[in-house]
Amino acid sequence: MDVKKFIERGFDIVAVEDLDKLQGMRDQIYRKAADLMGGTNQDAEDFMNNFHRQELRGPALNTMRMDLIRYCSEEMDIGQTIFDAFSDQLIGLLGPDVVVQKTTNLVIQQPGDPDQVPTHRDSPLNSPFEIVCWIPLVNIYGTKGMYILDRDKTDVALNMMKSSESGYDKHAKLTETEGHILEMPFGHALFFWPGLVHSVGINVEQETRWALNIRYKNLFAPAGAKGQSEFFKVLQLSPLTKMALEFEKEVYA
Amino acid sequence: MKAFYACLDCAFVKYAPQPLQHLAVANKAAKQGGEVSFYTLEDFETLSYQGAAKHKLAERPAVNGLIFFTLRQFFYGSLHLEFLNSILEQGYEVHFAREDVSIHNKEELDQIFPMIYSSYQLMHRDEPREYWRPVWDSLDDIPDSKDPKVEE
Repeated sequence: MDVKKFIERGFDIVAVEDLDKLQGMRDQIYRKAADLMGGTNQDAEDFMNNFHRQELRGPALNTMRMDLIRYCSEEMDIGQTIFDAFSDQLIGLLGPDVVVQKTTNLVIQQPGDPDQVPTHRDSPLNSPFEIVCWIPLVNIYGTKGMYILDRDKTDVALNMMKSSESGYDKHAKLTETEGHILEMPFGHALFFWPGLVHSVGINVEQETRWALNIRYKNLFAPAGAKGQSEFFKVLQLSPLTKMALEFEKEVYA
Repeated sequence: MKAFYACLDCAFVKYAPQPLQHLAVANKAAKQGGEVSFYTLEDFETLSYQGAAKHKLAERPAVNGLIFFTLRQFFYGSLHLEFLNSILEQGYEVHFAREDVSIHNKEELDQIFPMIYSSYQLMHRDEPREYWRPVWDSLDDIPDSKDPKVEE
């Protein structure tokens, strides 16, 4: 990761060194999804890109997505897999005492689907000390991705939002017109600061987007309104922190 | 089917009303393959030492464990790790509905201690008594958002 670029813009796109880690993770999600759909003979990429051909919409799509999120969060250790794949970058930004979001989010954005997350920023509801890791499971380009504003443009958008009752619409429009359009093949991760404004438009490409998002934070950094033990679990501790916690445990026991 | 005793958080009732806490605790009980048999609530005077919960525990209730609404109930006054240990030593499971955390034995308590400890430290460091005041003040049409004594 180019840390200077990350700090200037608030985001950076990084290629994974060990693609097998992400491929294994994608295959496992694909097998579960295919199972939920009653089986398939497609490969993972074909299945995901052409998922809209299954014509699953509305509540049925949401139920399947929630089943997959439960599977990813409870049966797979996705937070650990992504951390292992990008540990140098994450430890470089967060330090060695790391917590990870308990739930892994999965978004399936089919072509033409008008149901999308509105333009927003994650922080201040989330802690500004988090880093968001956005991992596409398919190749991302054009409207199949999302728009993200850098730090300077985020400031402009937030000023617009405050200025009048039409401010929300103006800042959403700015995000679509001025936002960075993601072009990233599978095997890359977008790391972004949660204070950045980002949005998803209608996917007008001919393929479905599948993407995971999960958040990491230093154990002792402020937790934001979502709460430390409500939102995070411990991923790894430094040897010194382990030693100090043993000492503290005796103090309170 | 397992049975649990619910310990709701009276300090949090303003933000999570009692019926909502009952729903969350019942959901946690169902996730553990059980249901709630009865419940208790601390008095404000006993919050810092969990007197009501300790009194109930002394009766040796015929349940598999206790479900607290939140981990924070062990943070009022101090970090009450000793009480948490003592519940486990008596053979009861401990669950927390808000955090969706379960502790079945002392080994699991050791494992989750870093999260308990950091949550306690962050609560004291980052959440001042008037944690929600910035929200109230930015929406200044809420009646109790401004202290009349400090208004000019």
